Amino acid sequence: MPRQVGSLPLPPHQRARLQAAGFETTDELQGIGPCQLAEELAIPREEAMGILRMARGQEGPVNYPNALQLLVEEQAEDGLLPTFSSALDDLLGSGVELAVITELCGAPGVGKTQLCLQLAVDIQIPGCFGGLGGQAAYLDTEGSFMPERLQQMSEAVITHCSRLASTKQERDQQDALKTFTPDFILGNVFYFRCFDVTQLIAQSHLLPDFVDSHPKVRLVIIDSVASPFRHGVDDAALRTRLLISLAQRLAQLASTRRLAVVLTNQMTTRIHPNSTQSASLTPALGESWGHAATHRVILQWQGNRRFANLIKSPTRGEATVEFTVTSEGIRDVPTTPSLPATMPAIPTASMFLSSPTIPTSLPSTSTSSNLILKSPSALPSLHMTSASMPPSTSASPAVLGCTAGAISIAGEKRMRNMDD
Amino acid sequence: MVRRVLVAQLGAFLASAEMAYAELLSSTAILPTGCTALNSLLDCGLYTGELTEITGAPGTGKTQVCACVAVSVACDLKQRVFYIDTTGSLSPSLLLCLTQAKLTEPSLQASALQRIEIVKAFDAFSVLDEVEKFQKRLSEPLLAREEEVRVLLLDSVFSVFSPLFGSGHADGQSFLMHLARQLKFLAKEYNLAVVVTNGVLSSGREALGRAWSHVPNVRISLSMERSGPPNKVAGQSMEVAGPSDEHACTDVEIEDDIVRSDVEMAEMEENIEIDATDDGSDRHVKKFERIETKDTRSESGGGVNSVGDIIRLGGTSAASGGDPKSLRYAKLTKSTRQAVGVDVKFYIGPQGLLDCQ
Repeated sequence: MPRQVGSLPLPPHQRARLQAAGFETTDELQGIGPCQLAEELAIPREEAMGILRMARGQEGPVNYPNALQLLVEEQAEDGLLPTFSSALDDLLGSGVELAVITELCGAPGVGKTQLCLQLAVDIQIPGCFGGLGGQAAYLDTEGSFMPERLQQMSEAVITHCSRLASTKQERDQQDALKTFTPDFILGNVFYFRCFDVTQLIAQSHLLPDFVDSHPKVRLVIIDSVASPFRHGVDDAALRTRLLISLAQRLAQLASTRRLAVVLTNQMTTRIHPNSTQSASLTPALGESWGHAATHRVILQWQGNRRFANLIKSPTRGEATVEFTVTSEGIRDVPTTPSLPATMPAIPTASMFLSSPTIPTSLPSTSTSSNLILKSPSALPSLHMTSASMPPSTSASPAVLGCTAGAISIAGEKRMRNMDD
Repeated sequence: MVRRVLVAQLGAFLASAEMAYAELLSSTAILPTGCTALNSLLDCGLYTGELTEITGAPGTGKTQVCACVAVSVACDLKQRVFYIDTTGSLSPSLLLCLTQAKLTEPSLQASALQRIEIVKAFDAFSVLDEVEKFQKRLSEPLLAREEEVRVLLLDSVFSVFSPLFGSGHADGQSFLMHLARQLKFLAKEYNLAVVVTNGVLSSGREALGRAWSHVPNVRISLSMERSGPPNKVAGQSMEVAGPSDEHACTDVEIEDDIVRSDVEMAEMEENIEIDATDDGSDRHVKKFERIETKDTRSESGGGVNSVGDIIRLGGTSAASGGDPKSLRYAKLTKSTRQAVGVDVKFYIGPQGLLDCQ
């Protein structure tokens, strides 16, 4: 069945003229030249050429990747994006997943921005330590980005990595540590401040070009998606349309360039008039937005403790784990005997994908014969050392503030240079 | 003379119902989904020549059901699958895991995975383009093809077409109808089963409006609880006004209650196995075939012994401590063959869709 002219992505006036001139399908546009078409439709020649180009479409046979090739590509990815809390990493399945959108929802203060800052540091962990060695783009809509906190977290990560390097004594790790400094880390976070919906959407259009010109960017954080849309857009239908197109752009960016995209969302109240429970917290921005993210995590308080609940994921089952926010960043809850016996057991969801018994021998037609699922060897080592480390000796106050002096100011300057 | 030519070329072809039924018998195949509960809901499985829609709230498992269907067709039936992914959520590792639950030999797993073709399209026009390219590919002579494409999966149509609706774009609906027409043409002409995923609005209705709701032949609605009376109160959640909200209408479920006669039942129970090494040029399957698959997976996981590790999913508070799978309910909300409104239970786990024992 030939393609209808009405289904081509043309501006309405061109489509209307085409249909008025009697062109119904793309087959009818095949034998015609641009000048003739321009005459018939009374449009400029360039527009006619554009129409013909679109109608001709792609020539030749198209080969799509099959699941095996995609799997091999995925396996070739070397490195993970950990959150530095093994419970959270297990929840999400070996850290935050690349090439998909992960959404973090939570009430104020539960730690969404903290987790985003932690991830902005973690993406930069060098490859020899099991990380990705990439850069991060941070789109801030609320103004909650704190360079001082980023510095604190980076110092903790550097300490951790140096401990790893000193135990293993590997050459490349020692070399990597020489450049892995707080300045370096702060300089690799590209900061964009978006004050309203228009700026956020504009920035999302500019992100693909930005990522192309900075190929080391592996993480895009938007903190938060909810605030500009809830306060800036009155029409609910328009808001949904804008949100869904934003989500699709981000999904395309994530998938084609294999980035991790992390979004933050707020919570709202949903009232149930018909059930016993009168109201409950639910992620904001509506039901349609719920389809946008691939993984959705709700961070919530229970008393004084923070829990993360994975409510949507195609690859992981639902689970709830506990985590904590320390001066060093996001960490696991320390398991000391002083904890009360009523603490719920943290479900240790084992690796969803079993590592040892994977087909190792494949037919030679496949491009790579190595189909062993990566066992995140680096990941457990990171966490084992963190668990065995004594709690941070310096109980420094949260905000270093002016005492950081030159370092944080230089970091900010570098970030502002990267501002769009 | 000219008139006769024109009538022959452009006029409609009169056929009797008997001929139509014979043609249906000769060209339709039923594809089991890999889960008996869903199969029974769908009247033995997915029918080729039809468009099936899977709807549900976020997190109810639409992507997983699509992945399970793809793996089931690729592994058990050894037919090819064309998967259009618009959300980026299809993970090859998930497909590997599901394949490993069905097949134990690595070479078989690899060849099964090679039968699933995945294309990523993130906006409506790309989807239309890809569908058109797919159609061109199918219309070329199938010389070197051993296996045919049997299923086209589109996950999800909601995320790419909903930005086109609304006051700014008067023709968003028309693009959606173009897609609908293309998909139905593909299904009928090339004997595919087309499966499409859709979302729901906060009121519980399927998204994309009333015009689209008439397009699929069969619709299944997934949910995490057993569905009670339709919950029309959206409460305070700030929600969508989709195109359906412009029509003041209530939730109408299509209540086609066609009961099958015994004769039909007997005919449909013909158990002829499809020849897996079918010649590619022979597109039409000979009889009304029900393709037998392996038995329902018991909860202990019959074929999974090669995987030594215990794959455990953390349960929700509702599930018992030792229950590793997530429970889902599927309801048939539109069908021309079955009674609607039936609920079935099944589990979604790493081994695929499992039945409740």
